[in-house]
Formats: sequence, structure tokens, C-alpha cells
Amino acid sequence: MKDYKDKLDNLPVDIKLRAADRLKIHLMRQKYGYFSRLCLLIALIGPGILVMIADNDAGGVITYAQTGSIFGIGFFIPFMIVMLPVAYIVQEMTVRLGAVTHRGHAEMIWKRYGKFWGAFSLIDLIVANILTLITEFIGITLGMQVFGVSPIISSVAAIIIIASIQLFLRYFAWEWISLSIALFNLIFIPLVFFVPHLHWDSVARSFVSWHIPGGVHTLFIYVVLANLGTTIAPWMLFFQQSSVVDKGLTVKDIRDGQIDTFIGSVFMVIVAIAIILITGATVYGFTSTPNLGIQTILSIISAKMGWVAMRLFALGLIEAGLIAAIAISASTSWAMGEAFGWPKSINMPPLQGWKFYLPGIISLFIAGGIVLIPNAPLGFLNLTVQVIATIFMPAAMMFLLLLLNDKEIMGDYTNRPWQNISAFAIVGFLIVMDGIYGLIVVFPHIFT
Amino acid sequence: MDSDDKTSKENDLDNDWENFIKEEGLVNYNKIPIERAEIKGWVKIAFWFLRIYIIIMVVLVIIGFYRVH
Repeated sequence: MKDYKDKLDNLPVDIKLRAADRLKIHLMRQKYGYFSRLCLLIALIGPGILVMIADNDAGGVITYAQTGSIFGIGFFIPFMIVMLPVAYIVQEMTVRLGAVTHRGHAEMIWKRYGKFWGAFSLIDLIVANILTLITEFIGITLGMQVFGVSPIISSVAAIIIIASIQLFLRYFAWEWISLSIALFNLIFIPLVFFVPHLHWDSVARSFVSWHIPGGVHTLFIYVVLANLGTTIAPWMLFFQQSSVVDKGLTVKDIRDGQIDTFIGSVFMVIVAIAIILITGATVYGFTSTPNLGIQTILSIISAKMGWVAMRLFALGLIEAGLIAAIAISASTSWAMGEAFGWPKSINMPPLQGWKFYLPGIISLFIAGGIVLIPNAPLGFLNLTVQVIATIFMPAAMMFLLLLLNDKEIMGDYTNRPWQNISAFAIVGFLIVMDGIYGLIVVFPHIFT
Repeated sequence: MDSDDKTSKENDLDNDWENFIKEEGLVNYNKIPIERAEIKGWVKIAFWFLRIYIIIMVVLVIIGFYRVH
């Protein structure tokens, strides 16, 4: 390794750290055998699981909780299963694009389709990221209130923790610390088994009936859009591709990147279903208010399942906000670095890479500050973020599909016909749902 | 086949450092060059569709927010 060390020393500091990580992967790949193969997979996983768990963010947890509370156990259980291939198909494309081009999504759009579309995508991403970050801080502060911590302390603590993880850890450590935090997202799964009177036969029946209580109406469309918005979002495309690039994955690692993404998708869907089951069995039918706040949901969970369950639910909410804020602020930094050609790696030391870290940290301060404003319409903001994400998703998907069908760039790794058919079907579904949303806006009583 | 030691490939990185750096795309000049794409055919139609879609959606979101408040 000494010879390699001399060679590595000649590289710039961020590339040197990535090269050192990649060198280990290169040496691992030289070995055969199931154990070596497993070690290689473990070393290569990260971006996929991280993006999918971070997708179950505080806004997502609140959306799933509201979904279960309003619609119970019915349509949205099988709907979330359908979301598994949807999330996988969309995110898998970013793995290939990142591994083949070694460039992030923002850089690809900027260089391939010009400044206008580059700036459009970047502004869209930054605005959506700040709005989404606000929902993460809503989750963190609300969750911490359950433990008696005031919003100002929890907001400041969250900013310090997230900024420190970003600034002082290099990519490898950053990824493993983030994955360790992400592990707490699974806290919702065991809670399902402590839900009183949860009828598994009604869960099974939901796959046959796809029952929608009250039929298709405005609120139902709104909740479908919100669930779509929380399953696939523009920041996820930017995040995973940049993460794949910063980790240094190459075409040889695509298969492992796909496995990573699939594992993440499975976790994402299981957690989402767990939350819908918990609230569907405890909160649904308890109150007829459509604008259920998370505090009301938590207090009903406490009444039905006890305070331990309620606190664990709150802990899950805090974790969801924390992991998503780590991912989203990183995606803001990466995108800015890619668009403006700044250094763009979590391997950069803070002083050398201040330009790269600054946008992410500023976005944290903005979001952390807004949640502290008294009487800010936070509940309304949460659903709005998901709806906005869904509306802009077709635009983000279009660029992804154009790039994935670009033979000049992707060579043998362009989309196969089934991948194009699936991806276009997803875009079509998004556009149809957005069209229905438009109809509701213009004719508010069309479905009532 | 399952034994790690006896089936390891010989490590040739000492002689192949430049190739490793190139394969890994670690430095900019080794990445695939990206040039501005020529917008023609169905891609041109897709871009026009996107422009119209964005305008319609922005108008609808503004109407939506106006009605809520």
C-alpha cells in the first residue's frame, strides 16, 4: 500500500480520499467467493438506501400518518406496494447515469441542455429543497416537544448536528453515520405489532378491494398526490446521482447500486405501510376532521397504544426529519457545486470546500428559522410541499429520460425498452394526476 | 471457487495506476466529454410540451394558493 500512498498523495485532497476508498473496492473486487462478494456489496451500498429512507422524511411520515388517519386500511396499502417499483425504476436510472458519466444531475442538465434549463432545474430544486427542509424541521421540533424540548433548542441542535456531520466527516464516515441514523426509521415496523385490534384479514382484503372510504373526492386526489410527492421527488434524483458520483461508483458497480436501490425501496415501502397501518387502526374513525394535525394523531396513538408507543412514534418522526435534512442539505450543496463548477465533494475539508458547504448550511438556517416563526401555517405547508414536488416531478423526469436515452453519453447503458415504457408510464400517471389536480383547482366541487 | 486466497486475481495495479485513475473517472479529463445537445425531432417537441406544462401548472398553483387564502 506504500507505493499507492505516494501515488495518492499527488492527487487533489477530495480526489485522493475518493481514490483511497476506490482502491479498497478495487482490491476487494480482485477476490472471489461469496464472503468477498458480500463484503463488496456492503462497501458499495449507501446512496440507494439513504435516498429511500430519507424519502420517508418528516413530511412523509406526517403524510402517511394523515393518510392512514383519514382513509384507514384500504386503498393506500396496495397503493404503497405499487410505489415500490415506481421509486425503484426512477432512482435506478440515476445510478446508471452517475456511474457512467461521473457527473451529477445538475451538471448534466446544465452542460447538455444549456443555462436556461440548468438554471430552471437548479432554482426549482433549491426552492423545493428549502420548503422540504422546513417540513423536516417541523417534524424535528414537533417530535422533540413530545420529550419536553422547546422548538428553539431542538431547531438549533438539529442545525448544529447536521452542519457538523456535513462539515467534519468525509464521505465514507458521512455515509455510515447517515445510514446509522437511517436505521431508526425502521422503528415504525415493530410498533405495528403492538397496535390493538389490528385485523390482518382486513389488511389482506385491502389488496382485493382497494377500498376508498367515501369514494373518489377532492381530498382523496389531494392525498394521492401528496403520497406520490413523498415517494418520488426531484431532490431524490439529484441526491442519489451526486452521491453515486461522490462515492465514486463506476459501471462495474452498477449491479450493486441497483441492489442498494432495491433494498432501499423495500425499506421505504415497508415503513410507509407500517405508519398507515398504525394510524389506520388507531386514529381512523376516531375523528371526522380532514385537517388532522400530527399532534392530534400522536395524542390518539397515546390514548390507544400507550405513551411508550407514542414516544417511539415521535422518535421516528425526529429521525425522519434529521436524516432527510442531512440528505437534502447535501443535495443542495452538490447541485450548486455541479452547476457553478465549484469543488463538489463531501471529502473536501471545511475551509477548502466552504463554497460547496455554504448553500446547504444556509438552507438549514432558513428552514430552522422559519419553523420558529409564531403562527406560521406549518400544516398547510407540509401538504403543499408534496403537491409542488409532484407537479415539478415530470419536468425532472423528462431530463432524466432524455439523458438516459442519449447514446452519445450513455453508450451501452441507455434505457432498455421496458425501462422506457415503465418510466414513461410513471411520467404519464404524474401528468394525469396533475391534470386532475388542475381540474380541482378550477372546478373545486367537481369530485364532491 | 469459494476460497478467497487461492482464487484471488493477481493485483496488477502497480503497473496500471493510470488505467485505474482513468477507469474510475477520478479526474475531470478522464470523464466522458459533455457537449451541448442538439435539440431536434421528438426532443424538441418534448421541450415545447414541458414549457407549456410548466406555464399551466404555475398558473394553477397560483390560482390554488389564491383560493386557499
